[in-house]
Amino acid sequence: MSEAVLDKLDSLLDEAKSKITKAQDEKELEEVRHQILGKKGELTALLRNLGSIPQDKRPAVGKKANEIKLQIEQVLDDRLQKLSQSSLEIRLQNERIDYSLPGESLPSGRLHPISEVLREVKDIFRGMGFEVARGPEIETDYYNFEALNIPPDHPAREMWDSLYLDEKTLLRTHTSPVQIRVMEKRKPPLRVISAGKCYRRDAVDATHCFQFHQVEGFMVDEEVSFADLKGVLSTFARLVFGQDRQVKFVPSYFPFTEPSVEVYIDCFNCAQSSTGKCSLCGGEKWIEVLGAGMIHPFVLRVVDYPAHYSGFAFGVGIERIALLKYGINDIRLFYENDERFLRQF
Amino acid sequence: MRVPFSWLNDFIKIPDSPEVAAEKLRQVGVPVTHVEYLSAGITQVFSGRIETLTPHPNADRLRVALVDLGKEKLQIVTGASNVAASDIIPVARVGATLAGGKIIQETKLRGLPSLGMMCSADELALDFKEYLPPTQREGVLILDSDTPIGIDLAPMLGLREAILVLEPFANRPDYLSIYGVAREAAAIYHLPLKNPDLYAATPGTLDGKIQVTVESSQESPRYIARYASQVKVNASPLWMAVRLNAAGIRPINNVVDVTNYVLLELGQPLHAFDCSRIQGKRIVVRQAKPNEKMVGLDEKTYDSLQNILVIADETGPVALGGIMGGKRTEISETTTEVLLEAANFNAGLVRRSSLKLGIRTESSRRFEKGLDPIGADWGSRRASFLLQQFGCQIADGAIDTQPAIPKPQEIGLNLQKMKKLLGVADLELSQVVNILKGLGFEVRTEDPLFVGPPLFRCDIHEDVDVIEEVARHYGYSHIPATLPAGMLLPATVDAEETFEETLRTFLSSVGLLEMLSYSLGDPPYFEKFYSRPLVLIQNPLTEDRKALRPLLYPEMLMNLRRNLHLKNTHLHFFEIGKTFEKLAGPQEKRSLAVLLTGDFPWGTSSNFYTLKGVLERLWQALHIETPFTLHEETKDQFHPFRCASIRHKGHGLGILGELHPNLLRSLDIDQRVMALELSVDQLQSLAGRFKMKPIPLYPESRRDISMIVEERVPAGEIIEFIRSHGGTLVEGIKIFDVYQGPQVPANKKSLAFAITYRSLEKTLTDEEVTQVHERIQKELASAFDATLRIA
Ligand SMILES: [Zn+2]
Repeated sequence: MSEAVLDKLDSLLDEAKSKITKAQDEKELEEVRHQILGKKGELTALLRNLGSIPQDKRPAVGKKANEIKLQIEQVLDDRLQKLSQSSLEIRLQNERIDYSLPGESLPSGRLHPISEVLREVKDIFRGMGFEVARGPEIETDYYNFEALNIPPDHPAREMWDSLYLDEKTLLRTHTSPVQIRVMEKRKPPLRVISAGKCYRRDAVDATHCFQFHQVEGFMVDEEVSFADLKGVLSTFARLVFGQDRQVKFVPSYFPFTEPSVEVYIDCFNCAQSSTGKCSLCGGEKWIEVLGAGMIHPFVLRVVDYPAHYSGFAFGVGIERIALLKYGINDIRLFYENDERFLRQF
Repeated sequence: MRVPFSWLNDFIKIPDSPEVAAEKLRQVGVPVTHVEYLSAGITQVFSGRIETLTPHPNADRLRVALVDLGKEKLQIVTGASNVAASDIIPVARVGATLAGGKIIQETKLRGLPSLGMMCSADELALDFKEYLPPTQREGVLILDSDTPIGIDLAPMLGLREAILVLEPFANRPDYLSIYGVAREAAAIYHLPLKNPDLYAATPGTLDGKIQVTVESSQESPRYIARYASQVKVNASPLWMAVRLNAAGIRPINNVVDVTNYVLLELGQPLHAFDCSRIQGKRIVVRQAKPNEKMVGLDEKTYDSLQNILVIADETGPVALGGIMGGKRTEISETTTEVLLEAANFNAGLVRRSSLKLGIRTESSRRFEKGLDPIGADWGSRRASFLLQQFGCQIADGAIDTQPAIPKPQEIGLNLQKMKKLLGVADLELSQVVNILKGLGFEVRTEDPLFVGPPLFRCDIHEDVDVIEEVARHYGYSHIPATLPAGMLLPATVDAEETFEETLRTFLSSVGLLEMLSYSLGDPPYFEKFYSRPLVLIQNPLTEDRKALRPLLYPEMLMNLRRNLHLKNTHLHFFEIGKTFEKLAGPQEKRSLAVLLTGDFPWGTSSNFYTLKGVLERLWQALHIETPFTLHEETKDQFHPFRCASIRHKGHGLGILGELHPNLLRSLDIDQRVMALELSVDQLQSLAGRFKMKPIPLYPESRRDISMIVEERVPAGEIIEFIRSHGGTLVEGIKIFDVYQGPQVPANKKSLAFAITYRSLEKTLTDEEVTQVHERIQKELASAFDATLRIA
């Protein structure tokens, strides 16, 4: 009797193995498992009949039956592993995508290029220890001109043809008034910049506009020198336009600085313009990027600073920096706000 | 200012090319913008005299000339009809290059060889044809009869002349003269400077010829008059006409040309009067009298001369001091005697007058920057020298109201201070002294250093002015570049600026594009949006940029409009900037505005709620605790039922809504546009300090309410009711459906809310939630007369 059971077990194993191998997907395999190992399965039925086997044979048959069960389970698991792997492979294959289709649109706002450049310029000077102050766009003649050593009837006033609200009030023509406003309230040492919108009575064309942005900065302390001015502004110019730029300092004139200087960088476009004059520098090889100078003693006297203080001041035209940086040839683009222009930054 | 290089070389022999010289000048602060060439590339043009001129045997229109070039005689066949034997003309020899790159070759014309060409002004690229006699404008140029034969005409005709183009600074009127630039060049090259040829002053008086009275030496510190007779007014010699033209002043006649020549050369404005037309033989330099007027050389009548300095004779003004001469005493072909004025006028006075009259002339440009009194003497004598050359008789003596010139104030210099200020440790006293002497400073003593600036340097007042002189000739490039030492200061940022940057970052992060529009706009346009008084510009460049914007969105709308017309149709803009309000005086406010039109990239179209969504997100981003409230608002420029004012705790912050179709139609915009404008000043005062809220430990439980109410009942009121009556377990309320249609009775709407319940202390049981939820439902039903729809 027990012999027959043992034989049955062996054939059950063979049968199971063949059924398992034939199962083609996970569902079929699950059916096979059910047929053999389920509550009403063949192996289960066999084991249930173990009671009919003589007492002394039972351990051997029971052991054998368990081995068979384990073997079947092992074969089932192997097959399952294999089938699930191949079905995953099929799924993945069906999920092949066209990499060339465009990406989906996500909300993508931008800052105006002028705001971008303003941030960059402010960051550079903050990195050199300059704090950021600000002042009004509507200024008095005193702050905009007189305190800066530009009295009425001074010929230099034509450098800043102004828009007036009344005889003594105007739209600031530069951010330099902030220099006076800060120095009036505070004592050196000071390292301050201020950024903002300025206005001049200019007709609008490719290189002029009645409104523009400027970053003005100054430093006052004991023994601030022209060499310091050169150091700070060379660093600035190279951080904006590249470390390999050459920086040139040329004498200039501003009523509120003495000595005064214009800062140039060597043209980075000349190499690219193969034929004729370079469009950026007009063949001059140098591009003006900012104006600066040692603060005129008149200005320091206006704010009652003792004579042992000295300082430098500078003004950076933000539109100009943006034009140069991004290769823009018309200043009007900044204020026409064509979406196709703004999206590029 | 245009400086012909050859003219500069009259005073200093510059050993460099114009380009190199320009760069060296630039390095010391002479603002040469660029170098330009006249009659570029024209070569081998010589002066020749026509010896004989005979008809061509084979052609009616041609003539055969034998031209003497000094060393040789050339046969030239010409078609020109304006030449005659013994004329001196420009001859282009075989091999010469003319305008347009034309190269002269040996040719045969109707059988006769021609070994060169007689040149016209065009062929030499001379651009002052209208100054020539009519026959020469298209024909051959005829040179002055005293022109030597066989000379290279390049210098005389300004062929290949290099022009240094300068944009002088307001403090250096001396750069508005050839001689002034030569002085800087002499200092650079350490070369001697040649003085211009001056008329030697002769003793005598002009008694009987002319009398001069200057009423205020404050207004006119120096007035020099000289008298010339036997004047013959005609064309200037070609060399002078060429130079004036090259420097940018049109030749007129020999007398006027001399004054302009000296103006350019020495920077001293002069005026020549026809002396015979000065009534009473007496001139007075004085303030204009009421109702006086004068017709200027520009033919315009100047009749508002209050506070203007005039030069007057017995019958009235003959010149506006330092600005322009008058028509009545103008030099004409009949002039035979000339009164030459070389004066010095107060700079501020000239500037004020010039602004008031609205004219700027070569003369006023120089006077208003401040000229030195020596210039008047040199100018007068230089012009007299030239007039004498042209055959005029200069009377002995002159009238000079300031023969003795005070020495300028001397300035003390501290070498240590100079070294510290420039950051140059190894600057030597001898270097400083050499530089200053080279620039014409008088070094009075060396230790301590005291210097006297030259008279022509009206811009030197104190030690830093002298330090700049030293620095620029020492060379800015030789000064080291150092990073400043000093206390490490906190690089703080102004709080307003920080806040605006936060707003910029936020608004761009929700997909909005920053715009920068003009702060100035058209008053009538702004008045469509704003009924209070505008802040106006007194002297606008154009009327449509006369007003400062009272709000941001109107000018932004113009930019939006331009975009729509360019077929950019989906636009989401924001701007942050100043707006201007007229209270007692003009006031600046900070504002933020958003304009939306068209679709978002993810498909939804811009509507009131997308804009409201921006506002809600903004509130979150700024951590403002109390929410804003919206209140029905009627404004002409907005949709009457889609516009609300934005308030916070009752204070108005701004406006939000859809723009009125009528407004949009008037702007040619045919799609819906949403606008939002908010006060940044107020927003900043609301912005809270952020503190993290604890993340809940226990799960939420969601229940929905669906109800039908009157269509005019605002959903917000229901939410507010649930919030205030729901109790502490209500965590959030969201609307997830608003419906009007067949399944809902007329004039009613169906609203569906999802309420989330949560306790911070424990997990709520179903019963606990149901109890609260059912109470809320009951209370809603009675408060809003609502029919509950049980799902
Ligand atoms: Zn270049």
